[in-house]
Amino acid sequence: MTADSTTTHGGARPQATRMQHAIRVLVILDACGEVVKAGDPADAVKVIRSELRLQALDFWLRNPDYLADELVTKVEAGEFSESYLDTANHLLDDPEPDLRWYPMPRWHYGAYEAVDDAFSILDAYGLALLRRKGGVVKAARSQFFLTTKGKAAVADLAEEPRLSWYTEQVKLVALVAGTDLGSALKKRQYKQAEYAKTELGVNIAPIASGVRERLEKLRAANDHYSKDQGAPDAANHTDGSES
Amino acid sequence: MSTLGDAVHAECAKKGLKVEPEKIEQILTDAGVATSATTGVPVRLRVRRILAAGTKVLSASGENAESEESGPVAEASAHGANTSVPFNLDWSPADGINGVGSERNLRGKSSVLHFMAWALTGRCPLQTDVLSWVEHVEVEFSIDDVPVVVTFDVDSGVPVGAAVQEMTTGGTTRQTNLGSFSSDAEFESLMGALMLERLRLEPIAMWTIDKETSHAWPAYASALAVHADRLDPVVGNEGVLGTRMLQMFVGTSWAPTRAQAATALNAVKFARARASAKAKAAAEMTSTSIAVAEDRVTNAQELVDSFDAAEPDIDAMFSLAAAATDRARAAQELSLRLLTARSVATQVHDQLRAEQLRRNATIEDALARRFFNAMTPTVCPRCSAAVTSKRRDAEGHDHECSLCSSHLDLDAFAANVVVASEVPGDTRGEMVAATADAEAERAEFAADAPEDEDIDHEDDEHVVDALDALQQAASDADAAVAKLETDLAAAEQNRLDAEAAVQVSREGIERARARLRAEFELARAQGALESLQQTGVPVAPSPVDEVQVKVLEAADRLTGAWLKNDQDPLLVEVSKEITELARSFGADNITSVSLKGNANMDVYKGGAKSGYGSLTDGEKLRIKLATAIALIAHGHKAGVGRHPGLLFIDSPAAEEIPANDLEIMLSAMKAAAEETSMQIVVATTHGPMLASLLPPDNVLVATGRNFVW
Repeated sequence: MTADSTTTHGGARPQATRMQHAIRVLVILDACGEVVKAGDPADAVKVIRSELRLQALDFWLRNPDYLADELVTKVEAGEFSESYLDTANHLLDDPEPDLRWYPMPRWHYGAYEAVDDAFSILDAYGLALLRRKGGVVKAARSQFFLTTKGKAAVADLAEEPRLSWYTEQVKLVALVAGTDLGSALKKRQYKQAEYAKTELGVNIAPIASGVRERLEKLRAANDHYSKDQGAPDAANHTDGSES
Repeated sequence: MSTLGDAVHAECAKKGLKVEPEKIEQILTDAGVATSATTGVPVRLRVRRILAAGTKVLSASGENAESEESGPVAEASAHGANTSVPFNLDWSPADGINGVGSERNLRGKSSVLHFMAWALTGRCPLQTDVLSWVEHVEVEFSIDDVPVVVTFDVDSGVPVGAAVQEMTTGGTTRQTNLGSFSSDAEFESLMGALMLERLRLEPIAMWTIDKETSHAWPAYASALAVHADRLDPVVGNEGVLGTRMLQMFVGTSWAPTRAQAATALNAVKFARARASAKAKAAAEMTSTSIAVAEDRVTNAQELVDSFDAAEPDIDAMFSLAAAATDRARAAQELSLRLLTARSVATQVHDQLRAEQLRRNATIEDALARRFFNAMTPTVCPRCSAAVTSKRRDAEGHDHECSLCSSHLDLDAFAANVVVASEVPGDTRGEMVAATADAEAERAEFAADAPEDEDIDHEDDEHVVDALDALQQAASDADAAVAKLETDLAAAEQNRLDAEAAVQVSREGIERARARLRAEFELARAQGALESLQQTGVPVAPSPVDEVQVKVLEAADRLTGAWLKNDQDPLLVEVSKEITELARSFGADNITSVSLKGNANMDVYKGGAKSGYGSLTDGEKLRIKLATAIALIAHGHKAGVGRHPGLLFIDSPAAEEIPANDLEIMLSAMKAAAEETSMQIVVATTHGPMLASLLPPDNVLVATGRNFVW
């Protein structure tokens, strides 16, 4: 079972289940993993080589407001086209992302929720592999591999009702994260003020209203100057609300 | 009827003014205008004897110290000590020319004239130091041969004494006290009354600027003196009185009446002018006040008119106010209900959201579980042991988990749910139900276009109850909120309308109040205007009867004409006499003079005409003396005139009159005085000349450095 999910606005929020966590990790490996290299397990096709990166990606997948904030930042920086402001808007206002909003607590390495239970499910069915590098004394570095079977499962998942939302949403996460290493992602997330201010062990607070404000400002400014920065190649981009 | 009354009546009638003769008489009498002529008959006034006693103090610095030459008194003065010298003047001037003389100035010759003038008028002309020396004065006058003695003691300058008439019949002298006095004022008053009455003179009425002045005896008395240093006017010594003096002395019949009529006319004209000025000012003030009051009324009326006449309905106002309160309360209630409804709606929405979240989590979990369960476990995540086909089969046969060998719930397994039977029944039930829902959703998902599915409406029959109920509740709550919002808006509008109505009603009452105030103001303004109008323009309550003015004008005109008719021939005669006398006085360059009724005089000399005012002082003195003497002589000869025949001449030689000229003058005057009954007292420093020219009885002369007294 997932750790400390808690109540937030609007009454009791049910805890995310181990199964949901497993689904998220699966789609993250597929969408955000890098292609395996020689020396990696034979059956593996994609890999995420640090838990920090995995946790950071999961954080964006679970917190649509922070994801929207990243989109605004990218548009602001001219990396993304202005149409991503609409996407950000959907993330903030549509009910769909909110249904999947499960806040995460912050630990020393940033947002963190133990991935073991969820990963064991993927492992049992041969969808993913966990390999640890390093010794017992020195902290081991975990590498998370997606297997061929796992990749096929993600394809199946995209056909599932409701669960297919994750295969879509994770594309935005991948787009936002790019190829940044876990530490870089963590840094970016630290830049998101609320995240940084959150005390250890406490759920990271939502920043929806602040993002909405930034977004409106940016929209107004862009309308004013009518400038189109040109979007990066985002073939897989869809609005978060549609799945 | 009087002469003047008749004439005025006729004059008025001629001018178309009808006035009762009695009324005319009354007006003339009231104005103090004598209605009959009084022909002046000369009364002879003579000074018979003069006594003055006292002690004179001669000091080194006094006027008497002028003598620096030898002599007992002068020597005493020279030593700076005051010397008291008793004096006792006793002189009886004779008729005709008398001379008071000294060889030097400041030897008391003028004082002799002053003692006489004092006794004659009661007004003291002495200088203060001389006055302080005098202890007793006694002057005997003769008025038409009746002796009147004025006797008084002087104590600290204050005269105390009496005027006594002495009658001698059969060798017995009887004294009749004519009056006593113990002050300057009493003395003057007594002498004024006595002399006017005895000399048959009348006060001269004069109008000066704004009041009537009566000039009486002192004015006449002063005209009896000719001062070398006061030569204007030709008759008398006071400019304004010249004309009247002349008229009186000439003895014209209507002279007093003429003066009275003119003065009375001036008085009434003045009164009329003043009354009219006052009336005009009052009228102006009143008309200004009325204009202001009218403006005030107009303004007040405009203000009143600016209000509509509608009476405010107080009851309506109160019921409107009550309605407004009710509506406000209703709105308030609605507002509270809305608040509650919103709170309820929020709660319901929260619950709905929570349910949606819960359901999403449950179904996702079930779907995920189903997703994974559909796969075959290959390896134990814990120990990495491969899951054998035997173990996998065991799930179907033995209902054991292929990974951990836990016993599986058979019913759940039948429903495609892999769950250990040791898991609590509730949880297992939920999982089965969730899986059923998930299956249903999958079936629906497969049938329909998945992308258009709205999560809120894709719920299965099984779970529809709770969610639908919540959704229904939420939409009901929303509807309730919406309705309450509408109601509240309407209620607020009602409240505002009601309050506006109250405001309008209240303003109506305020307007009514303002109108009442305006009506009060109008009433006050009208009252003020009416009272001003009633008071009206004070129609110059003229104290001056126009008839009175007309009558007095007629009287003035008539007497003026009469006087002129009467006087002009007399003036011709007098002028002839003046010319002769003046020439005999040495002014032989003067060919003729013409004395005018206004006391001016044309003087012809060397063929040229000039006025009295432009003559030299020497000529003036001769003509002035000639005029005085001519008036006396004329009165004496014609028996008409009022000059009492007494004349004082002070220091005639002081004014450019050479000694031999003075001698000529004195001789001429002596001759005139012998022809006519008159008494002249001449004071001069030419003492020896007096002594040589005049009989000893007629002379009071101090020789050398001696004093006259």
